Amino acid sequence: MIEERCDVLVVGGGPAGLVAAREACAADPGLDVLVLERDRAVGAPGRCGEGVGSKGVSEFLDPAGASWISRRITKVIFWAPDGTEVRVAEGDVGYILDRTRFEPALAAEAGREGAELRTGTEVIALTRDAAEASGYQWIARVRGPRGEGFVRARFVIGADGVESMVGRWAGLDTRVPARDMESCAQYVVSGIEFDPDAIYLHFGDKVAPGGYAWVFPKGVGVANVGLGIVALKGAGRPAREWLHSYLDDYFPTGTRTGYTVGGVIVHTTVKRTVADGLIPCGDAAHMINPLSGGGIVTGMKAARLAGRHAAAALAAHDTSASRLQRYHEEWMSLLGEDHERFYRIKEALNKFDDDFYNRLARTVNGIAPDRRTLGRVFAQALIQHPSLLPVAARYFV
Amino acid sequence: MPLCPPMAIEMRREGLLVDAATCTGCTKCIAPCPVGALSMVANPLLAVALSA
Repeated sequence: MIEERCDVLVVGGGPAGLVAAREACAADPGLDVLVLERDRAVGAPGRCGEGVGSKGVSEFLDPAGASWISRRITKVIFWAPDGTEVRVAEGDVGYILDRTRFEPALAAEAGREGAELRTGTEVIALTRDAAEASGYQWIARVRGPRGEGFVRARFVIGADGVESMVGRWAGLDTRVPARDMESCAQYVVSGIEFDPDAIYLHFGDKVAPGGYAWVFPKGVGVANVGLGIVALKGAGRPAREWLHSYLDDYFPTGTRTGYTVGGVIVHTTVKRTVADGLIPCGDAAHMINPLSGGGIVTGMKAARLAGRHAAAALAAHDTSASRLQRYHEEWMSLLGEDHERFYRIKEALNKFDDDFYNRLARTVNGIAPDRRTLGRVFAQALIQHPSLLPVAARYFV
Repeated sequence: MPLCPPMAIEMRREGLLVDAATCTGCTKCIAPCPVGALSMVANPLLAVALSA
């Protein structure tokens, strides 16, 4: 059995894990930081719609001329259940990533700072030896190309995504309520017609009950087309079947060149995100915008905090959960509390039927396009449904 | 209710691992699977099984 040691073990080489590693190294170049990725490459296979906001992603990598951008997006188009089209935002909206290049770009940055990345290596168990005097308190059992072995670490960052085990191994409750898990399926579809500068979000109980369908352009005529449903509302049909119906109805001529399925957590940050010498971040700690299901940039923002707190805790020779509680508090004031507000809005919106959204779409189309902000759309929703007011009060206060 | 209240499911590289000793057979995991790969089988020790 191989046994090795590191200061910080990062489990998972997605956007969160790679940013956490980069930040930990940048905060303290003396740290020995190891990232383990289960898949044989970072960024592949594709796992999501790949959409990010331009402002958020720019905090981490420079988008100018970047190879990791599939498509720059300048418009957001909502489709109401009856097909009424509403254009909400025009301008510098965001990007559809090429994650097979995005994660390698993040990995290169982490590597430049001194982190080591090992792909094809899965952590299969994690235990803590509290009596360990050397400080290497966490013992990970790993399985990689060279067989099984152990990694002893002074600190563990769990960036192992929606399927996270790290938090569970550390005794944190990372279970997801069934109603807050979007069951998702997506095809890459070629040879279809749509505006390649726009992302499309399509709502409706007959389209994607409890979620939405999306068209995220990868290029002209090529898009990630997918949907997420809340399984309890899915009439016993799995997400992939809903997607087949959707494609038959809206993009019958396209060629499906690849597909992915998975879960998106639309919940709020787990109640407890710290253990002794261990913090989860990103999807692993449910740090996802519960209205949109977007988690790439939010995960990276959490990971930046996680990496810095790991380095600071090690430098202070205090990796106790009570010290690390600062990480939780910083995250909650940065985005976690926003997500709790968004969650309440999601809950309120869930109560409305297709007819409400159809009427809302037509009302919003009465607002001049250049004055059509999300705030005004929301205000229209309030006028039609005063029962949203208590939620809105919390949202705006 | 959580997707898997007793935390009997582990996602491994090879696929899903269900701990038969921990699984209570509550079936909450079946509907959320995007491809409908999970189903109940008669053997209570193997409460959940993978199909194609």
